[in-house]
Amino acid sequence: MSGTGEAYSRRRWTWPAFAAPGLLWLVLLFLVPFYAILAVAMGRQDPIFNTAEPVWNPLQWDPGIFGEVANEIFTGQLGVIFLRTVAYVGIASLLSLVIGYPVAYFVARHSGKRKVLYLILILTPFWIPYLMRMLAWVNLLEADGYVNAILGFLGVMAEPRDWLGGRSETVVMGLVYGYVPFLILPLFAALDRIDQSTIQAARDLGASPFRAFLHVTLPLSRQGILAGLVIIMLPMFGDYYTNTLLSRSPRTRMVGNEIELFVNSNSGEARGATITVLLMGLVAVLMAYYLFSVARATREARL
Amino acid sequence: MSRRRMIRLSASAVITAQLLAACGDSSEGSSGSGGGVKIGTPENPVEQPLFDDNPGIESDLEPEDGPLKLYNWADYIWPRVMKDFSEEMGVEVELTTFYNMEEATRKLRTGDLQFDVFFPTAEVLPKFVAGKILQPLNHDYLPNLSANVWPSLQDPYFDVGSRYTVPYTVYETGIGWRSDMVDTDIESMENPWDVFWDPQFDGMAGLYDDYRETIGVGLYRSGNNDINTGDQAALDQARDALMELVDLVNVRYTIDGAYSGMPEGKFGLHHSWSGDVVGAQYYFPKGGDPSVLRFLWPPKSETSTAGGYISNDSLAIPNNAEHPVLAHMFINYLLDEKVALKNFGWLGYQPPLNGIVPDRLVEEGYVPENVRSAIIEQDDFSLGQIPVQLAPEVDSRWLDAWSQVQSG
Repeated sequence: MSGTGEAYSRRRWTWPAFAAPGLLWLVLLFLVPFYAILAVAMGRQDPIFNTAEPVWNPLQWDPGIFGEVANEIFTGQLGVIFLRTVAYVGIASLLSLVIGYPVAYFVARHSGKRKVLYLILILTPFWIPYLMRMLAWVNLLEADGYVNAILGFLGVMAEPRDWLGGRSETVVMGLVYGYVPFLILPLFAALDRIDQSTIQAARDLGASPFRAFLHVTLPLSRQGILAGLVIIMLPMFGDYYTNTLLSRSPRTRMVGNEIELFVNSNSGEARGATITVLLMGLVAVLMAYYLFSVARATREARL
Repeated sequence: MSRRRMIRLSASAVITAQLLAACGDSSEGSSGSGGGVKIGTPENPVEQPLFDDNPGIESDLEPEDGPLKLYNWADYIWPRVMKDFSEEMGVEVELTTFYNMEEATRKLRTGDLQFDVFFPTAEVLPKFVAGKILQPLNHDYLPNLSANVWPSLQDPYFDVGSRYTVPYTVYETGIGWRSDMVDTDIESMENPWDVFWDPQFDGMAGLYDDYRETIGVGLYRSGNNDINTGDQAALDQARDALMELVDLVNVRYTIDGAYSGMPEGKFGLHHSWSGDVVGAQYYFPKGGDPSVLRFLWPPKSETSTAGGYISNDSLAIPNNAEHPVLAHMFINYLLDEKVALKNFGWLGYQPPLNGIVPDRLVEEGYVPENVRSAIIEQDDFSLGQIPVQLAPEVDSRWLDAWSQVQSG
């Protein structure tokens, strides 16, 4: 593999150089901030202002707070919040998949000439800011709002329900509503890429449409499903505003709310940073699975 | 209108949360703890130190040409007041806003930003003085301070002699409710704070999303009026009391529940800043009747010994101000009765000036008769509890308790 000619050596550097902007981006906007969070989590407090002072030298880091926070996760309230967050994100992601997969499938396979139109329609809600869309839900879900009016009219519910009174289902619904389009787009891309002839081959060999879907389309869209899930789960884990707007009850508190509380406080910044790092650790496990699965799929594709 | 108040309040929630500087034991505070920070308490008022390298300005200087740069909470001054000053003095007035005291602290500490007038809370003052972020005031430029301001606030516990600050607004934290949704006689309860624990208000009770204010409600509920305590057992008790509220009344923690949630009927009962209740009249939907609003600051109840928070926000001049003379003149301008009253009509938070008395505020329509109880009088400062800066380890205990309350 070792290069001999000058031309080869030049070429060896040309292509990796294209990665430089991305690498720079990663270093400046991810690694440096992440290091800063670690430096705050393991840093000290300013004696006059009580604010967190980052300590940049890892040799002087004080990991004590990690022990405290980890202890709270395993024995205290923080564990409940982490579990609740995982449950909300898990359920919301599954629901998003159940809602998003048929939509992506339809647009990729059966929308014909109107494909672009449907894609634009899916993205239309994004012309309105997230905050505005959530505030609209607040109005819809109020005790005398349209949701209760319609459910009452249809006879689904006799009594109006206090959707905004700290209900898990409302928060999960908000998460699904907020993030489902981000799942649809990568899924659409994956489904759109599937070679039609593979499905025709399955049909020719006697598979029913359902079996063809199960054994051809679904496995071939697996990477799209994973990519879409990763894209929506990462921001969901850190989401706090959906909860703030739609619930505001201790019953539905998520990790993002906890981080917001501490980061905006006087003496709790280090704790907020620590919870952030631990949340990132949890998310990193999911990412690792995703990357591992992508690597395996790439390897299999090469064989 | 609603937006400004919402921004201001969301900010003030966070603020109030952090400002209070209470130290667990006042002896530590008044003797000055870490880094020469002198924290006063109502029992142990302190004079803030002066430093040779931070002398303040000479008397009888001409005002600079401007522009005058203000650093304030969002929507915490009527733009008209700035405009009038600008025209009167022939200078530009520029406003920069911050979201909470932490943000302001971080930015001012860098020394890279230059502002002429800053609006700190009472609790952060000790550390701002110790960190030499503020300059001492020259009272020669502030005749309105001794002429108009409540005498007790000319000598506040955190800054005896008003060396670094003058008061801007005062507020109390009490209980707001709608008489058409709540028929309990809260005014004659033995402990008015207990009303939040009454299961008949299931689904319509709210408290502020603010650890410093709301842990205080837990303390009052357990009969403890020491709202600057660092005692873990007391904090545990307050925490447990608040945690009961989740199952009892499905409590919600909000910032806008008092001034907008109650008028809209989402809450019948809410933890309330006095300024929120005064402003709530503008938030009733069309056809709504603002006269159903009520407010009680428990220390004023005749049948109760329960406490309530009271404090003030301040005006100060950063030590790197480029236009300190103009800044003094602006502060003096805000302490003028006419100007202050105009500003109050927009702001809802009351300036502590001698001429602004309850009867006048009601007669001239600034405050509706039914929430007259939200008007603050000078003597109230001896009835209620003033939150002071918490020592760092105490502050952590409060935050911990709050985070547990919040996680149900």
